[in-house]
Amino acid sequence: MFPQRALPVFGSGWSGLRTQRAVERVATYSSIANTLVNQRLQGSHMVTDQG
Amino acid sequence: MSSNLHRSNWSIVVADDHGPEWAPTVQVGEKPSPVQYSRLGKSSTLLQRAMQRATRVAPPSQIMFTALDEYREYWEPSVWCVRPENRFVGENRATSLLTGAAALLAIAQLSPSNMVTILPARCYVAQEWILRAALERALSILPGVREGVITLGMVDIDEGIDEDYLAVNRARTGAGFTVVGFARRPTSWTARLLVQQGALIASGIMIGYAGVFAAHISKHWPGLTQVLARQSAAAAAAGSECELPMDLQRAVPKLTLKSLR
Repeated sequence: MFPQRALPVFGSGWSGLRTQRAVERVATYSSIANTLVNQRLQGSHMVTDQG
Repeated sequence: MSSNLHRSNWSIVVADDHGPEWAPTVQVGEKPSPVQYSRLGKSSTLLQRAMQRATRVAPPSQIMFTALDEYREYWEPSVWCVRPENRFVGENRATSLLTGAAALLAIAQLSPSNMVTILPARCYVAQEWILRAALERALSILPGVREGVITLGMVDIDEGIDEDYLAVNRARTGAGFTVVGFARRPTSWTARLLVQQGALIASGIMIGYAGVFAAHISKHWPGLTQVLARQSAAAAAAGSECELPMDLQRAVPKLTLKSLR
């Protein structure tokens, strides 16, 4: 067995992307996150216009 | 970390390991590309992010890179800072394990006590600061680890998908866990069972002494060390990329070649 020692890492949101299925899931998450960010930016822009 | 970069710290960014080839695009105007060269919704590619990780653990002159020649158009613009002799380029997939071994042997020849961090380019990290802290911790505890090599095992709230797993026990001495088994892409119910029993997701990230890696290569792939050392020494002398040709396989003993498959 190599290597013989493992250090645990919690909560990094890590994915090895070993298959197409895994890549597509991460891409979907990223896409959703981008949409949310864009919506927030648009929202703040509207507030600025009104202000 | 950059102010603490030690002259014995090296890093190898691995961009030629196997995996899915083409990543879906998530932004308008984005071109489909092999997954390690895709952005997956962020501003930089997975390779560029792995290179940034590498610059935090090793000086730029001590970063090595492995890739496939057929994808040169994707990787070349991102590795301009890597010296040509630190690039290990394979002609086909059969040589992809050999490129990493050649890079490790080249580092071990300079000094077996050099510390090497192996970073797969084909991985996604949402919380970069957590991984950065883990890499720093691994490097700091390495001198006290008897085995001389540590891997990172990932734990998350979300269930992993199509991952490899490390079955572990608490170590009798020192930090971390002892690896007692390796499960390659188990079914989802087996993966859940493994996680319930404390298994960690195998990251493929390794931190260890160059001499330990070299000893492992010599032990398990006899006959390979001299062949690869000759290739990298010739490239270093010429200041050119270390290209591993397809016919290199002929110089590798049949038993060794069989174990690579």
